[in-house]
Amino acid sequence: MIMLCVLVFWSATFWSHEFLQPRTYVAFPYQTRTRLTYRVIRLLGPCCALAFCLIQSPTLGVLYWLGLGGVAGVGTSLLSAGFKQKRGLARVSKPSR
Amino acid sequence: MRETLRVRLGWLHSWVGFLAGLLLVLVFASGTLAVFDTEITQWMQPEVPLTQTTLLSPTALQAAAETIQTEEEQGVSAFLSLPSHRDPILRVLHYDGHEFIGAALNSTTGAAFPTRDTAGGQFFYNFHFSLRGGTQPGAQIVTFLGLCLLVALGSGIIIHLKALWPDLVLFRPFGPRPRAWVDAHLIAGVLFLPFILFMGYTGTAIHARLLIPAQSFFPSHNTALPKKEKAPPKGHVLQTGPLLPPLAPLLAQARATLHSPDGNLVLFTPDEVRIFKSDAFGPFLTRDHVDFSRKDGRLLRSVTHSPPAAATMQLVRGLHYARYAPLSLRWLYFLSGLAATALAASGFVVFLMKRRRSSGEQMFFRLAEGLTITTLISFPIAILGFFWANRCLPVALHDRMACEITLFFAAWALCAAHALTLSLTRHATSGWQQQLGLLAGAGCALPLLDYLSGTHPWSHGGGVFITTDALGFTTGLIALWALLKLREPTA
Repeated sequence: MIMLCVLVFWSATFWSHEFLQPRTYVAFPYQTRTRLTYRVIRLLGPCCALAFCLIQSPTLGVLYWLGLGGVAGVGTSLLSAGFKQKRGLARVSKPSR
Repeated sequence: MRETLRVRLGWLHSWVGFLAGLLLVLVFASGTLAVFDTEITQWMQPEVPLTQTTLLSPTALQAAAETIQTEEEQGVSAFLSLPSHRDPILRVLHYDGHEFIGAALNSTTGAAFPTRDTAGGQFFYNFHFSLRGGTQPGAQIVTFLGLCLLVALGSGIIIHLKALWPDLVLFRPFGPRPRAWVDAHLIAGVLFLPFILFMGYTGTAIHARLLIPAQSFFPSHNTALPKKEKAPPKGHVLQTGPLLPPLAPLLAQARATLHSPDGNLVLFTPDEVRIFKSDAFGPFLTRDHVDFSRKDGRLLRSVTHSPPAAATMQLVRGLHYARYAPLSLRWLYFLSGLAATALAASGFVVFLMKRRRSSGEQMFFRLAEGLTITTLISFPIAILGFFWANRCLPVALHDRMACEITLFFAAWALCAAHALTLSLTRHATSGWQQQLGLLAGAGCALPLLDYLSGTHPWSHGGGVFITTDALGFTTGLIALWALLKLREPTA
């Protein structure tokens, strides 16, 4: 259960991170308040995940934190790619400068 | 200036990554499997029921002691691996030059299970750290490859530094194909960077002495080296010790001292019985032990403290070997190992894609592609061949373990010859497709083979069998998916 929570925290962090990147928020415009929420999630998500991991296992918590972070990152990148494809934005890479 | 640095590091990253990666990918893949070496051994010895308890009876210990005595009389140095939650079997093991193998005993009655002769998961463990080449040159080569990995990682980080943060989870599988492969390479590398870095570093540090020995590579003629006592080869004894004392009271005393209630190792010398703390109790691979006299069983000494430098190396070893890790963490090690393998595999594809046109598909390019197929597709085929051989070879076959290993290398050599021939004759695409088809077939049919072999019950302790079969099946499905993608007209 705790591992699932950590995965959710990490996934939310990565999702927020991706939606804070110029290439994504140009494609999916949102309000300033939403942007602030994403920033808060990106900041607090890993901290909460680490806290949960250390509660679960003080000695091995960091290893769980890193491992689950990697797994969540891969999952989020696949989901995000699928989401963009569904919206017809798969080929959007980076905003023109 | 900065761009020049990036270009130069790009060159270093490409070539070190590709040349070292051809072997590193084998180290990654076998290491990933070695995370579950005990479970693979259990899959490969289906005659051993996994429903036993970790409790040991004095009868079983006595039977084990008799087996030890018999093996010593035959010149084999055997030791005991006591039942643990992970492997609830009493094993009498010895080192055969590559693997730790031996009899499996019932922990209650002491009766030996009629197991098939197999290297099991130990094969992958040995392959991982020495490529089956022994300490020299095998482990030396792997340690040098570890250094190359660190160089490739360092240069890769610097090249990608500018985009590291914004592109943390950027993946464009539906974009142009080269872009998608670069993204896959970056995602595997960046998200699992801490794991790959610490495994690369700890793996190199463990055998660093092989590269930088304390003594000179070249013997000095000026200083006379002290004569070494005649030592037996690894896994053998020169003289047999006296009859073993009853082990049960020694074990109880040692377990109380070491705070290690199960899974201990018991080693025997002509004079002593050494009981070691289990590796499962914490990330430090301490090797704490309690020694008893072999003659009368009296306590000689207990070693339970290590100096800081030794403790650091114990932590390095412990983190790398992951014997302490609970099942969930072992799965994370496994997934991270897969990510490292994917990192190398996607790197190869990017390397070849970049050079396909510019090289004009000359001889060296074709050789590189053939070698890539050999490592990326032929090696997994050989691994699955090893699993197939375990189920297909007769249980009573003479020298069965050697046959299994020979089949592994024969399958790999045949596939390599096939890949190189097709690649050098400009038919590399057929090579990819045919070998992917073979891999898909071997993987998808593994559960069926296991079921038809009827070697074990599925209702009790079937988790190991179901999981292993499922992983084989998944490998087959991935190969099938890759094959279908390759056959698409745009490919």
